[in-house]
Parts: sequence; C-alpha cells; structure tokens
Amino acid sequence: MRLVKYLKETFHYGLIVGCIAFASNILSEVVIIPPSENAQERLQEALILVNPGDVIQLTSGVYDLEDGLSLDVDDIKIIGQGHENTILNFSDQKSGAQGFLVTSDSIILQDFAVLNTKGDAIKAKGSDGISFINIRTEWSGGPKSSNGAYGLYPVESKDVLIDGCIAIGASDAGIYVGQSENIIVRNSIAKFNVAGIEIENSYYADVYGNTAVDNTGGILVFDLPGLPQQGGHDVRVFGNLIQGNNTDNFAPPGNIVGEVPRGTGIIIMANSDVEIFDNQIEDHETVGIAVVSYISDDDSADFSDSGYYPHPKSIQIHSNSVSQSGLNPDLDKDIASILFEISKGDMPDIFWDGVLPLRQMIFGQPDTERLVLQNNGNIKFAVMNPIRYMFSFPNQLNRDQSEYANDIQPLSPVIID
Amino acid sequence: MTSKTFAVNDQLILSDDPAKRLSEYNFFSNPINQLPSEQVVPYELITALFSDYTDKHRFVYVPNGMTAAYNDDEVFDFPVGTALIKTFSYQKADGTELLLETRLLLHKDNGWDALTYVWDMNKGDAYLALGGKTIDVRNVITPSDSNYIRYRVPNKNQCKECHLKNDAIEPIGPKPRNINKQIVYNDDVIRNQIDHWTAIEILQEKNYSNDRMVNAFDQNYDLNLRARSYLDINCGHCHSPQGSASSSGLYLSIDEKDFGIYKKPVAAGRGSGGLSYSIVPGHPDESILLYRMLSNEPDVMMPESGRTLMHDEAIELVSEWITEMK
Repeated sequence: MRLVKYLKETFHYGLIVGCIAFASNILSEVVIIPPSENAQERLQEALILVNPGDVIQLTSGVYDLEDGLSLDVDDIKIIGQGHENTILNFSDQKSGAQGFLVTSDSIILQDFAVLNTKGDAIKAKGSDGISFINIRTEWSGGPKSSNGAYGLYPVESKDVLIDGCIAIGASDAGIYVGQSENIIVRNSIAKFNVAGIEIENSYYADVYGNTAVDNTGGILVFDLPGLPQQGGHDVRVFGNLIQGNNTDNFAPPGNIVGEVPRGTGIIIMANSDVEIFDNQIEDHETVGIAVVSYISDDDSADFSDSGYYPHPKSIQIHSNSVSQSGLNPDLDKDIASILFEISKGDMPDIFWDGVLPLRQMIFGQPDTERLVLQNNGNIKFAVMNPIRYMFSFPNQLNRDQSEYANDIQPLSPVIID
Repeated sequence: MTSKTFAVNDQLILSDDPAKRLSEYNFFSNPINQLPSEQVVPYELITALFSDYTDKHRFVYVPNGMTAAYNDDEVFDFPVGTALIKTFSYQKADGTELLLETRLLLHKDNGWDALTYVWDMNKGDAYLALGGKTIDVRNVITPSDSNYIRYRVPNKNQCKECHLKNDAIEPIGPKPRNINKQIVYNDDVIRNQIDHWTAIEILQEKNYSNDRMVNAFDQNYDLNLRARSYLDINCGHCHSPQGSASSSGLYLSIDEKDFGIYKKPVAAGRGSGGLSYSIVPGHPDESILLYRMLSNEPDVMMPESGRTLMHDEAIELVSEWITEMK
C-alpha cells in the first residue's frame, strides 16, 4: 500500500485508485495516471513505488516528457487506451538515452505510443518475460539519421513477445531483438525504418505474420562477433509480407546496418538453423533474400579464439513467393555492387555469397550445413564463387539451384508461457 | 556556538520506509555546513566521477563495533547498517555554498538501497526525491563557460543504472585503489585514509600498498595510468560485464586488457558519430570513445546520465592518451 499512501500524501489532483483482489488473495493496485503539468515526476515516482502485481493505467491524451522514464520492479503491467490515444511524447527530450528503460522481469507494456525520443524509444535490458502488445514507436518527421536508433529494443532478455506493434522511422531497426532467447515477433508492422525487424545474436525466435514495407531492408537476421552472446541460431521467419523496402539507407554512418542496400527483402548474416518460409517478398530494388557471411574490415580478423563462426549454416528457404528483385540496385553498397557486377545486371531474387572456410569452398560443406532451397516457384537464384571472384576467373556466379533442393528439416516453434 | 551531536539513527538506515527528511538520519551535527556527526567519517577519492563540476562531500558511516572487509581490490564488503553519503554542491559567486542534493547508499538487510534528498537551503534540510528533480543552477563558480546548468537529480531507478553489479545495487567509489590517499581530517591532521579507517576499526587490518589508481589530473603520473584511472571511475561501472552496458562488449575498468582499441560499435546509433572504432591509436578524432565525451546530446553523450556539461580537462587527457597510443 506504499504507493497509495505516498501518492495521497503528495498529490492534490484527483487520483482514482482501485484494488483488485486476485484469486490467490494477493491485493494488487491499479493506479491511473492522466497527463498533467508534472507528468514526468508523477509517472516516474509511480514507476518506482509500484509493487509486483500492480497495474499502471495511462489515460487518453498526450504526456509531454523531457527525461527518460525507467521501470525496475518485477511483474508490472503498463496499459494505455490504445496507441492512437495514449501518447508519450518525447519531442522535447532533454536527457535520457531512451524514452523508456525496463530492467525488471515479467513486464507487459500495452496500448500506448512512444514518439520522437532522442535515442531509442523503449529498451528492455536483462528482462525475463517482457511483452510489448499493441505499442507504437514512431519518429514523426519521417526517415532521418537524427532519429533514434531503435523503436522496440529488448536486449539480453528472455521470453520476449512483440505482438501487434508498429515501428516507424528508426535509424537502425524498428523492432530489434538482441542477445536474447525465446522470442516471438508477430502481427506487427515495421515501416520507414532502416531495418524493419532485426533479430541479432539471439537464440530461438519466431518472426511471423508481420508486414515490413518501405524500410531499407525488411527483415534482418544477423550474428555479429565481439558481443557477450553470439552464435545466433534457430530463427524462423514465416508468413510475413515483405514488400517494397526501397527507402534510402538513412542510418548514421559507421553502423553495420548502414551497409544494408536500399531494396533488400531479407538478409541472413551468419547464424545457424534459420528457416525462411511462406513469405511474400516482392518489389525489392536490390535483392529479395540474401544469405551472407560476416565480412570484417580487418583482413587479418581471426575469430578462432572467441568461437565466433562468421558463416551461415543450415539455412532453409522454402515455399516463399519472391518477385521483382534487383531492378534498380543500390550500387553504393558493396554487396549490391559486387552482385550487380558478377550477375552482369541480371540480378537474382535469392542470393548466397558462397563465402565459407577455405577448406569448405574447395572440398564442399558438410551435408547438414548446406543451404536448402525448395518450392520457391520460379525464383532466380545465384551463388557467388568467391575464389573465382577473387582471382577474376570466369564463371563467378552459378545460377543452378537444383543442388540445393534437399529435404526440409522444420525447426520447432518457439513457446512462451 | 555549540551544536548538539546526536547519534546516527541506525534503525532508520535499515528501515524499508525511507525518511522524508535527511535530518532524520542524524548524519550531520550541522547539516548546512556539512559537519558530520560522530562516527560519520569524511573521505575523498583519488579520481572522482565528473558531475558537472560539483563539489562533493563524501562520508562513510559504519555502525559501532563493526568493520568492513576487503574484497580483493573491489568495493569493500561493508556490513549491514553502513551508510555512504554524498552531498553535491557548488560555490556561489557570493562566496556561499549552494547544496543541491545528498545521495545515500544504505546497506539494509536485503542489500543496498539508493535514495537522494534535495536541499531546501532556506529550511536547512533536504527532502526525499524518488522521482528525481531538475534544478536550474545559475551564478555558480565552475571552470565551465556556462552560466546556466540544468542540473538533474537522478530518480531512484537511475541510481541503479550506474550502481549496478549483476542485478543488485553496489557502491562504486570506496575501493582500496581509489581511497589510498592522504587527506586532511577535521582535526587538521593529515592521514592516509586506509590507515585511518583501519585505526578507527571501520576497516579490517590488511597490508595494502598498491598504487593502482592515480589522480587523473596530476601530471606527475604516467599518462596511461591517469587516463585508465579516469575511465575506471567514470565508465567502468557500466562498461563492465556485470554493469548496465554489458551488452556493448566494451569494458573500461582499469584491469581490462581489451579496452576498445579497434572495437566496432554495436548498437550505438548516432553515438558512433560516423566513426568506425571505439579507439583508434594515434587518432583521437577517429575514436568513438572521445566523440561521445564531446557530446551533450541525450542519445550520443557518455556517460548517459550524470552530467550535462562536458569535462574539458578529461577530454584533453583522453585525447592526449589516444594520440600517444601506438
């Protein structure tokens, strides 16, 4: 009851407090906080004083906030009246590297919008059980490199659910899940971000039923070195509409997402056990699906110490419809210009860069690690021969997909309780 | 004029219900003048965190009869009931001192708790501010050119952003390596702090003679050691595998062998400033680490919270350090 007592002592505005007795006889509080002159302090104090099991209800209206908010109490729901109605407006943000930072477990954020934060919109770090439901993050000035990097940004978290959300305008990824485990991203919309949806260095993710349009790249599945969690694996990307992601890359220079060519549907970089199926991928000016290795700037980069494996392994691409790819490739980006060069302008829908450990490029890959392509209709496929490319030998590109028509071993669905 | 000294309120330190007013703890016999009660011991750090050029009055209180233990060269293992107290202040142009806030770290039964109290100079007391506060500060004396400082008192969650080790709150400053210095005590006697804490029995006896950290701005010391000392206390608590920036892979405490040379940014966004690596030896202008010290923008600046001004002297130090790097 600390929260009720404190608020009654401190605030003079009408404040309705209800108590809900749950079946297990735990008394939880519902605190309703409308927008006000000192919304910043009221909201932040409520976020500090809540007890596990409490609910903070936001009302319709615009909350004008100048500093970031943070939540570090377990088992809290923060619920608005819908992302069109309940707006956390950070247009005048003066401090805080994000709009909202969550560092506790079993959290539900639902039915509100976070607009125009200086940095990331909502970050959840080390959160076990974090759900974003019907949340909108948006930079309302359109795609700009001065926009914050991420819309939804769970990192080092487990049991992450992103459902029915909308992310617009992020200068890195609209919906980004990093170094986490057990993830579902579904029924969400990502548009006018550099990367629409990104799964990075994570284990067990299902990305389905989403719409990624008008981004620079629609959906990215990356695994990068030098991070506490690496070796991303078991990612399914299915049943998504990925269309017209032809926005110029507006990431601030220096970030790896800045290398994504305008007009990319899906990129798989490194990772193992990724299954891409039943997606509709159309109208991408560079490529529909690209499967690539992580290439370091530093030629002498040796990952053997860290255990990082820079090549994709066991990638299965089946039953997708991929069309209208490569009609206006982004030649400013290396991957696109190399592909354009070796394909002599006849760009594929699905591309694999063919980069593997040298031994495997010569002697072949283990069967279980090979790329699988099945039942993707009339798509145009191409795989580069990196050795021939390096030495300028002929036949640097192989367009025959028949050797990849192997059996599909479906990955298991992600289950979040 | 004599002031009464009351005993520190041990029960209040341990209580789950924080005091509304700082005076309730009885840490000071004269709060406005920051004169401590008995058993409240002033201390200083060899190199300190930059907080917009505020002066800081630091005190430690260990309950009677208890001692803190060593924990390698990390924060001392203080007993339950310990209070760490830090008052932030400025010197005003008129010669008086303006107290801003007093932050407390209280070691309760279930771990450390962080609270801050904002001063009302007229009332001579400071009041609990769980949600933080913005204080418009003007006409104070600092090395900066700025006449206006938008001083941010952190909210309770923000305390934990820096004071975070794994999932719990932990103090940062009082480590052997950062208090191994001589200071002048209230009786005008100069003593080494570790020797003094041992003598008054708030610290276990141990032979500690390490000089691992130095005053970052004392040019008599080695440049590399000075820069690493600065980064340790300003960055190392978040930029550690157990801190708030664990996901970055950039670790900056004084022991780290790999502290960002040719390290690529991960999720820095605009914070990378278009640059490619945290530190490029010989090239401060290409180093993200320095770039972020040179910014005041919320999504670029480092540290993320705790300052609004730039620390010019530190920028010079780090710049020189990177220039001299091979």
